[in-house]
Amino acid sequence: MMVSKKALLNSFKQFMVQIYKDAMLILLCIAPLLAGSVFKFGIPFAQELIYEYFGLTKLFVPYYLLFDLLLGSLTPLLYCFAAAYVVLGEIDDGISGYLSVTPLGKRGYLISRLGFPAVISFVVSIVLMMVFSLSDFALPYIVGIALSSNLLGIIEALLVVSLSSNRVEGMAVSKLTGLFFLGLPVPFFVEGSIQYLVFFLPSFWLAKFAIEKELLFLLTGVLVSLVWIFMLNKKFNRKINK
Amino acid sequence: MIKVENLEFSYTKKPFIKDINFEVKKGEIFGFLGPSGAGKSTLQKILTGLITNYSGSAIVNHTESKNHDDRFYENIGLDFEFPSLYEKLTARQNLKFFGSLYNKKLRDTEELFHKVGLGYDMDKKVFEYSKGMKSRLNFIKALLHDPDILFLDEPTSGLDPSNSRDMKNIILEEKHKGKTIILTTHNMNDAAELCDRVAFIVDGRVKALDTPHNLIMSKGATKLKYSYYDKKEIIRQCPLNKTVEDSKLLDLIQQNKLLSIHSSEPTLNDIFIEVTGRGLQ
Ligand SMILES: Nc1ncnc2c1ncn2[C@@H]1O[C@H](COP(=O)(O)OP(=O)(O)OP(=O)(O)O)[C@@H](O)[C@H]1O
Ligand SMILES: [Mg+2]
Repeated sequence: MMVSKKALLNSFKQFMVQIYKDAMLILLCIAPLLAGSVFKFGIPFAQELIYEYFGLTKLFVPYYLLFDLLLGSLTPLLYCFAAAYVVLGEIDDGISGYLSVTPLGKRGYLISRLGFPAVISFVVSIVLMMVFSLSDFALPYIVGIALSSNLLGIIEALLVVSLSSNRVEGMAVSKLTGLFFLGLPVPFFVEGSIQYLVFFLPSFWLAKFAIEKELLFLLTGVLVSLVWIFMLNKKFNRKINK
Repeated sequence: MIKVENLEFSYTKKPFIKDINFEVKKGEIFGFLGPSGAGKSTLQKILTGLITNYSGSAIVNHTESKNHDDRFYENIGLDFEFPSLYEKLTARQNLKFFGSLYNKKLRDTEELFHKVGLGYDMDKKVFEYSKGMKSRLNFIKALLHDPDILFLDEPTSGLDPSNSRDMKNIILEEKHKGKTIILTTHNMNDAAELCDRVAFIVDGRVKALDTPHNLIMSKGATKLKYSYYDKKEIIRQCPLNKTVEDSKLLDLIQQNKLLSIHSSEPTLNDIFIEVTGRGLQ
């Protein structure tokens, strides 16, 4: 079954118009760029300062990778939140349900509201990591990291939409979904197999993959993410058809 | 255009929509009448492909609705119970966006606005619209792509008599153009006026299905109401076909003492109460 291309493009255009008309959402979209600059130039600079005053060498160096991961996952985190925020507004206005009875259809709606933003944020996070990362990454790793952090972003968007009934609640819930990213520092700070206690957090596997460069970790993370997406999808669907 | 056979569906384990069978022809206005919670909107959701886990068959425009693809909607227009409009956009921008989702040639938007009396409010934002204005905008949104089948859920609710009249005229106009229309309503007068046939729906079942005229004629007898003065005004009635047996009436006629006399036909509402044992609201 094909989704009407015209409907898909116009629906996405409408999405972009809504982002464009909301100053907060525009800010969210350029925030990763700002964060990237701060990380890239600020952290090595702070490192220098600390060395001068306290004589501590390379305090941050072991964590450069963590900063890179934060940067990489910041883009999907913010972009997918922006998408969820638009969807919540559309649920409020009764639009989401209505669009499933137009040639756009439910699938077209999902593609234009979650699919396209995820693709854009995938590309943006790759570019940002290439430009701003502190460690030297080969492109395939960057792509792997961008992929799994974008799945994380989709989980966040599904959670925000499923758990909140309006935009104000959405803001609150999005802070909670930040917990999903807590898996990132675990492999850096927790040693031994106890770290696997957070196996259900896809962000944990993302960090494992970045540290060990082991494809298996990437795949495990993707799998865990898909389980989450599968579980949330039903709740999400019920919400938009209300 | 629409053919429903042995349709069954429930939101829960308990049976709800059951044994529904009917057919709607092209160019027909078909009414769903029933009290709140009867399952009218649910039935509409099944026909429009929003609910797909039903059993039995619901064929709409040659497509089994649960197997529809998205092209199905090029020819279906929906006016939901609640408006679905971008509050922050103007009315015109709303229609422009919704229209852009169809591959078909659209109707003249300005003409539609004028038809429902929104000609001067096209460029107002929807949040500045009153409830009735939103209903009217939502209604023309369903007509925008000139669909062959229209599903209208309480289109006239919340409208003043003049706007309600305009809307009913447009509905009739669409019918004369050959469109098929499913009209859900609590309003018996609207139903009697607009619908070619109506289905009484109660507790998920069809309790009666016929033209409003046949329903009225077959079920209810026309009554004769008269009044006379006997210390105070007294009103009595008898079935029209039994006037001969009413000796009081005959006496009164003989003595030329009637104050008033008129026949009264039952309304669709009376029939509804008779058939289903309850009122519509
Ligand atoms: N999404 C849903 N999930 C569970 N139950 C539902 C859902 N939608 C409707 N119902 C239940 O199904 C029954 C019929 O609802 P429906 O909306 O079809 O009634 P209706 O005939 O359209 O009533 P009204 O005239 O008030 O619009 C009600 O008891 C309602 O609570
Ligand atoms: Mg209803």
